[in-house]
Amino acid sequence: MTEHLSTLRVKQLAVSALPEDEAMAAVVHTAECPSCHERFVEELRRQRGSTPFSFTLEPEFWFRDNHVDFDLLVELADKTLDEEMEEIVNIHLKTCERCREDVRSFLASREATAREMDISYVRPDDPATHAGAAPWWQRLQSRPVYAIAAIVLLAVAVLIGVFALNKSSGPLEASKQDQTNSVTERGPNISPSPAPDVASSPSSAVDSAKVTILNDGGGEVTIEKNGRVTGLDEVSENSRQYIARAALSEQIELAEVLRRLSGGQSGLRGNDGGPQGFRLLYPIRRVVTEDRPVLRWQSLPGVLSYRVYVLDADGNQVGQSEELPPTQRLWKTPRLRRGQTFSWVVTAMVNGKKVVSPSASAPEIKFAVLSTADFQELTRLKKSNSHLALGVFYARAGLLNEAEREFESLSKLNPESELPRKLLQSMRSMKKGN
Amino acid sequence: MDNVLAPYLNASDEEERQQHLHELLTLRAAPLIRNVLLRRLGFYVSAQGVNENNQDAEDLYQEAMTQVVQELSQLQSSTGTDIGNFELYVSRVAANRCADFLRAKSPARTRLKYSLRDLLKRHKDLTSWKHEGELLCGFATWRNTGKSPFSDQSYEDIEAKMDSFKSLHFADEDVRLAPLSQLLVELFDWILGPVEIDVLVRMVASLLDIKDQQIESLDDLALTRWDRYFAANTQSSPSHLEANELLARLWQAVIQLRAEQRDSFALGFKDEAGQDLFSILLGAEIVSWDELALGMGRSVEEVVRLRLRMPMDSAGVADALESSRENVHKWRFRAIRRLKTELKG
Repeated sequence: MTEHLSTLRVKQLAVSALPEDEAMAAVVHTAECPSCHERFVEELRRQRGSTPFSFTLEPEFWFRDNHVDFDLLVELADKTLDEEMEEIVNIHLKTCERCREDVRSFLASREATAREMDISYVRPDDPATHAGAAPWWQRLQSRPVYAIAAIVLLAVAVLIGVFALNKSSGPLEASKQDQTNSVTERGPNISPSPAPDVASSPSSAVDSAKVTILNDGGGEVTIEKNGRVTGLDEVSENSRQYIARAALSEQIELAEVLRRLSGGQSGLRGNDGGPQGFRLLYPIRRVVTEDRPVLRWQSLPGVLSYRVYVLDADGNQVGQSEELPPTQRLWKTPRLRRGQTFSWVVTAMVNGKKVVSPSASAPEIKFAVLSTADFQELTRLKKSNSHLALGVFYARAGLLNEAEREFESLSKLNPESELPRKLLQSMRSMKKGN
Repeated sequence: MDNVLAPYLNASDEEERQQHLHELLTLRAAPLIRNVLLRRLGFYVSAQGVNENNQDAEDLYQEAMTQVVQELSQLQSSTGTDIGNFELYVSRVAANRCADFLRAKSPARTRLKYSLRDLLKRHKDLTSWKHEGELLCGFATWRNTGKSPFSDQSYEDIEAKMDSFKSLHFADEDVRLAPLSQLLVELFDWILGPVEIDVLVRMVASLLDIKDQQIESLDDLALTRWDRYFAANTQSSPSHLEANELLARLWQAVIQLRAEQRDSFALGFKDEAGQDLFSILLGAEIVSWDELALGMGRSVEEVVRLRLRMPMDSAGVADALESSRENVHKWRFRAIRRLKTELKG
């Protein structure tokens, strides 16, 4: 027989505070040693104190801690629980107010969002280009073959570089000169016709005083007095020229499309009489990037049904919803022609009367769909991660909220610089005016 | 000062002091903290402070233990306050941790999280996925990519940015009226990368102005109600002799159950004092270790190993039985029904 257990050991065994192997050794000993067993039993009793033994077999008690988690909520909502499990869940729900509320809230949320499931939110983004995507060197880690290829290419490039340097150390100055000349010869005005008349390519040293250097999402961007923009190599020449113009004038001009979106009269709407009206919520006098936008409107008390109409700039109906139930306050349009302006109207049936929003006396609610060219340009610009380029683009395209967001981010990245702040201010006053 | 602290405070050297500290923690503080966590939150923690299925339970246990150790250290350096009743003090520490946990847990946000997870799961253009141990969410095209740097900001900073988001995306409408999916789309568009689900919940809660009501008092009320319920529905015996008879009958009925029902019941059993079934049976001398092993259809080694983790929550039992929690619930349900019938006679 092994040594007797110390008092500490006995206490530790009683509260299960011994490591597994030591607990096992202690149990083996107590099985053979009546006196240590007696001390162990005494210790268990001492710890228990005077509390009498009592227990319950009420299922409410046994399942009181089995709270309803997300998976169970989904199964409840999907009605995929079997009978027995449902009974167990209901036993818990009988006594757990919080879980009851969880279930009620979850089912209500399911019902409220049921009609949203068919709405498509297709983004123009390339999946790999969002800001959260890993940089290229991190992506190489998951593709070892590419990583090895990159290392080999890098090594070859270094070897060639070293070889070339050794061979031609003499004409280094001449080579530099050549490079400068060739760049200068490219000339300043190669942009397509709609672009502003600002030089965006390198020019002579006389005009190249820097207007500003900005930290941008994709790196450092320099704008020179002559309109040359560097650091945005992947941005089109056209966009670079718009950027230069905004930077040099330090302000944003109102997009032409927004002038077209101010109100007018439509031939479809009813009169102002009848029950109280309701508001259309989105889109209102704005440009949308998607060609199947989701239209939203306010609810109207006592409504029986809604119907939505979309008209083109000539007042021709290009879309009409079916009769929508009172709970549905959004509708996805059919595909709309890009680059066009549209207006929309919602009619609501209340007590047998038709309520039209906007009312006859109110201006038309218009929106425009981003043109195909601009949509493609936006997709390219998003890859640059440049707040400046995106801000200027959005402003030019009439997407004011988005432009404001980009200039805001640019200002945060450049707290000491005047230009982003001025562009943001200009953007905000334009929004106000609009 | 409570006498149980005297050996620790009067220790002649550091080694002896550490020995007494260890005893205070393992023999007195740990069982109390475990019991408070179990009664207040239904959180099971083993005597070693472990619950592999419930990180919150482990954290709360460790936090309470750390606070007790800190207080004892201060006592020893005579900067601490007097502890008249050590066990009461430990119970209060643990109860306060539970109250803090409940306050931070926020049922309204939990419900919002469930709704958002469900929406992300069901909408074809949105999704959530596990990435490096975190649940991220975003557009379906972002699936399996890492989170955006946006998530690295503090919650306070993120919430502060919500006004700016609202003025940019919902300048001319009430954000609370917007469809939830539209709100998520606008948020993802604004962030331009995946975010942790909890960050999304914070943002949406802030935008929709979802707040919790004070819940501390409610929890205390619930506890009292359960105490009353327990008192009204328990099978108890006033005398030691009757208690042992009741216990022996229970044990005999338990070992008659089918193996999985027996295990689901026995491993999760706790009496009103929070003690596990094996300890109660051994303490009442209803069984020896060998009889316990025989009744449970296991070796003594296995029984000793299981007792270290008892009483177990459903997830713990499911792990021990290598089954699902759902199965454990069903087996336990059947066991209770059977035992009720058996013990009625």
